[in-house]
Amino acid sequence: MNSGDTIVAPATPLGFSGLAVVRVSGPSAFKFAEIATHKKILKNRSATLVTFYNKKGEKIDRAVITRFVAPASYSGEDMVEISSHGNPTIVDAVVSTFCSLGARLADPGEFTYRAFINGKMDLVQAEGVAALIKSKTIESVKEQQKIISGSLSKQINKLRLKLVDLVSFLEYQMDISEEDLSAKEQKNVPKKIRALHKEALVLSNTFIRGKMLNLGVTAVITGPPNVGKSSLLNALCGESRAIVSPEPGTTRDIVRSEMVLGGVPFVFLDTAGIRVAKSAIEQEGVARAKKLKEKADLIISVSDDPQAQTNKTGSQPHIFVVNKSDLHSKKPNKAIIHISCKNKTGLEVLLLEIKSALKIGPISSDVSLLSTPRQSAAINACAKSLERAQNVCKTVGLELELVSFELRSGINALDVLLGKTTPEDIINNIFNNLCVGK
Amino acid sequence: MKHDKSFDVLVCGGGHAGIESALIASKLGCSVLLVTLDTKAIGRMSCNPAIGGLAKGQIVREIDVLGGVMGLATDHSGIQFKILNQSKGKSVWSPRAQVDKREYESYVSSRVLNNNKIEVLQGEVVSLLCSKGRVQGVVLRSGARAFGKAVILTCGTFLNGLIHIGQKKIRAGRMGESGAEGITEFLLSLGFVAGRLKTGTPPRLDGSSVNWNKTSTTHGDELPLPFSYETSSFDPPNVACHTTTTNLNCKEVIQENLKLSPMFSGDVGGVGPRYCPSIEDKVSRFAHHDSHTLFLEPEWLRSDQIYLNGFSTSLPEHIQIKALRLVPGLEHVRFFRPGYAIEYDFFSPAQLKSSLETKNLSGLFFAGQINGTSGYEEAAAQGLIAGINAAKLIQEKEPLILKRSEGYIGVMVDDLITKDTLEPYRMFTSRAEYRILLRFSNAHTRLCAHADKNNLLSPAREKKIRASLALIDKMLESLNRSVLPSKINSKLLALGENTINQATPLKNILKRPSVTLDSLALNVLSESNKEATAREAKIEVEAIIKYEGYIKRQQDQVDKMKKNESTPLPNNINYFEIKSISNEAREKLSFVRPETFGQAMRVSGVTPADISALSVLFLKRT
Repeated sequence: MNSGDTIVAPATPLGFSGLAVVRVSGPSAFKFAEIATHKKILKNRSATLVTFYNKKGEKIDRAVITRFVAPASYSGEDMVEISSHGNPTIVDAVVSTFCSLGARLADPGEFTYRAFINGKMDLVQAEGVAALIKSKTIESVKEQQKIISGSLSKQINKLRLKLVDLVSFLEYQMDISEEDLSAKEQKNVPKKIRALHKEALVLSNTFIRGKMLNLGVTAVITGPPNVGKSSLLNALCGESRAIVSPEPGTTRDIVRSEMVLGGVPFVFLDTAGIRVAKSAIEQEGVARAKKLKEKADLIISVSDDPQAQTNKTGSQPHIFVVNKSDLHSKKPNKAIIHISCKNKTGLEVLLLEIKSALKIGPISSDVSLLSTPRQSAAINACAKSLERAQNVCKTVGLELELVSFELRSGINALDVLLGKTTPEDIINNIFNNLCVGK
Repeated sequence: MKHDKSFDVLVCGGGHAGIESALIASKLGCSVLLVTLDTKAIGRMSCNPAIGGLAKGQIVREIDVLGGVMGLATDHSGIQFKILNQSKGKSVWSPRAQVDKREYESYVSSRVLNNNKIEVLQGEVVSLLCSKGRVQGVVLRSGARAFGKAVILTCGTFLNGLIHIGQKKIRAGRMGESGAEGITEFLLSLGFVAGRLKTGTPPRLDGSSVNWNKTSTTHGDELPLPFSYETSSFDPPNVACHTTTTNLNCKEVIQENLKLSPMFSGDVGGVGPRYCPSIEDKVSRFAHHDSHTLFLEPEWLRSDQIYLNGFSTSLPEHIQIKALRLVPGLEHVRFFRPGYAIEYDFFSPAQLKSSLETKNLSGLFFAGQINGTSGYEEAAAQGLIAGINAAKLIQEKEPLILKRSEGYIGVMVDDLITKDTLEPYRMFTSRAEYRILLRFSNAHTRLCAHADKNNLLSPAREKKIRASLALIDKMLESLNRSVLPSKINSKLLALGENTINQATPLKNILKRPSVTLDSLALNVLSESNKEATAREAKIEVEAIIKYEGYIKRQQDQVDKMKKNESTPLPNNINYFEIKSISNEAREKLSFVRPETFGQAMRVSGVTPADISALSVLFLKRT
């Protein structure tokens, strides 16, 4: 199967490197490659050393070319990959040669799009490809590789199949069986819906973790002026990112620092101390600090008063820290983490607390995590449908077509997620799994 | 017919499709010639003695609102009426009637034979006359010709029909009636694409050989509802049907003899319906079930001929008897006729427009089993649509095309032209994505505007339909009124419902699950339950009020799709030139040539990704 024209694009970023890879996909991929290399490339899936020529016959580079015959290729079409020397001029010449032969420069993501069109992967897997390329930590890479291999799709499909089975049962009752539901069946339908709802919610909750791995965590350091917020930022990332001074109101702009904690990419943001600002610049800094707090995934409130109150604001996890423990003699409040940025004490405890507040722990290898807002929205929509299906049973009665309506909208949410819609599946399932009476 | 004669519409076939075509075309002012192999078999019910049923009952209602005869004929000949699915959801309630086959046949054939705009001719059509891409008439086996501006083919199972009973093969259209040969070959020569399907029918038993004491009895509804809005003074019989069940011994006989069934020996090439499996199918596909229910249905009033529903088979006759004699009540059973399977030609309905006119040959319409459907009701509905649209074509008016949101008939026609036909097509409620809107009780609300616009109804039926609509409106109006706690609380307590403590609109109270109009017994409605019209209006009013939220959500879905359904796709798109869609989509779209964007979305094998690619392209072009 192919999608019409032949496309070409560099697969590695443009820059100077040892090697660079150009990919070509489409019905004329082999023909163009043969013209450009003056050679018949016969071997499938094995590397061949060739000389690459441009359209005028001028030599461009010695390169390695690999041929993939459809449908056993990334895109599901005939493909070649050319590994040339990693010089932008060479890569440009290779791409231009293919274009002069009739190929078209690929749109962003077009190879993956073709893989999707040709049934090589579903939408969730395709999303995994996009996320993998942007992954910042090894844990995130592993997670996306699981998704590309289809493990998340499998989990979604499992839920989908159970929904399809239940809808099939209801449709069988409405379209084939002329008998009433037995008392047992009447009890079982709401029970099954409840179980499915629970399953959808469990899947939905994995997004908290998946989102952290994929999109990272934004932690905002906040508190009154001159308690050592900037010192904490510097201590956490082990370098002198923010300017520190004994003068209150030193930090006005937002200072950011990145680090990886438990496989999760963190961005720590140091903000202006919150007080009635003395200048317009500091005022703006305070306003920005307040705004940032709303969007943060984690808030770290810093104080230098060992008796500080722990007033939690917002819905996100909130950690309270008292700095300058080296100066305090009073008994520390246990709800607060006491550190000394100066003596580097208490930082380990703080890091552990951050991990536990965000529930960062080892990832089970048999569960895949939802990792994009689209995935999360679709699973939530499915859960919502299941909740409404339960409400029908409670408030309108066991009216099968209404229950089916809700379950079908749940299935639809998953189909959209995977990039397929297959109403025929339900009808087929009825006949394949159920005995028809009359 | 001595000379070549000219008509407006030629109908080939006198089954349920052909009858509706001929009658409605004549109603619309056309002169009609109906050609049939046997003028004594007009309106014959080849298979089960019942009309309506799950999803089919809704279709009969729609046929009635669009001016068809099936509902009235059923009311006239019904011997047991029942609303199925009453415990399963209001929009899937489906009326069904057991009918007296002889009475049904004689009623509809007299309607045809006594119609002075319809001429009936006994003969076999072997080819068509056509010129410049337009059909001109038909040629009969005798060599005679008849001319018509439109031709409707409703050939049922007669096209190259081949009956199988065990290893025995009989060329026939129905048991005892010869088939039709020549039309398939002629249409193939014009470039039409044909396929082969099969269906089956169970044995007919001699009722005097059945031990009825060993069977269970079922009756119809005490207060039956008629199918037709036109029917008045409705007081049909309520004849019993009987059931028995097959057992392990019976199953073993069938299993041992599977190789003698042509379906299993590979003799039958056609594909059969999975929803109406033969008994061979049941014991092999569902081997874990040891017993299956059999329904013993009388073929007419006080009939000794019994239709054995649930035992469709093509096993040799002696095996059929051997297996059945092991079933309780059938120990000494005798047959009037064995069960058999029949193979026949059909034409892929993707070759049709939504009007049921063929795309290849202007003026030629197909309806019924020739389109790969099964069922009397499905056939009749197509016959009706084809008949209406043949008249419209001749009169140069817009064809009648029903939307999927308007009726099961709209769903069926759209499915036929967009989906692959892998087995005979039967209607199911689950095929209708807007099922909650398509109730048997609101067929008139949905379709009367079409009936009015196209002048499809007799004055009598039109009047009754208007009366029913007015009654529903009146009831809804009266339910907007508020009721005082003192007037209603005792009734609510009796129903185990919470009481109210301030004046509350009646319709809010009716929304509670256990409250019905009858349990409220408010006398706001002057009509008594003896009136079928009033009983039915109550069913509809309860659905409208209790399902209010869902009806609205379905309507929103319809509105969302409206743009796609009303965006036409040009007929001349070269799908092979479109680069961003899959090969399968290119092939399917080229074959089907969808008329609208909405249809393109439903073509089998076309994925949402193809559609989004298509929409990008298409929106660019316009």
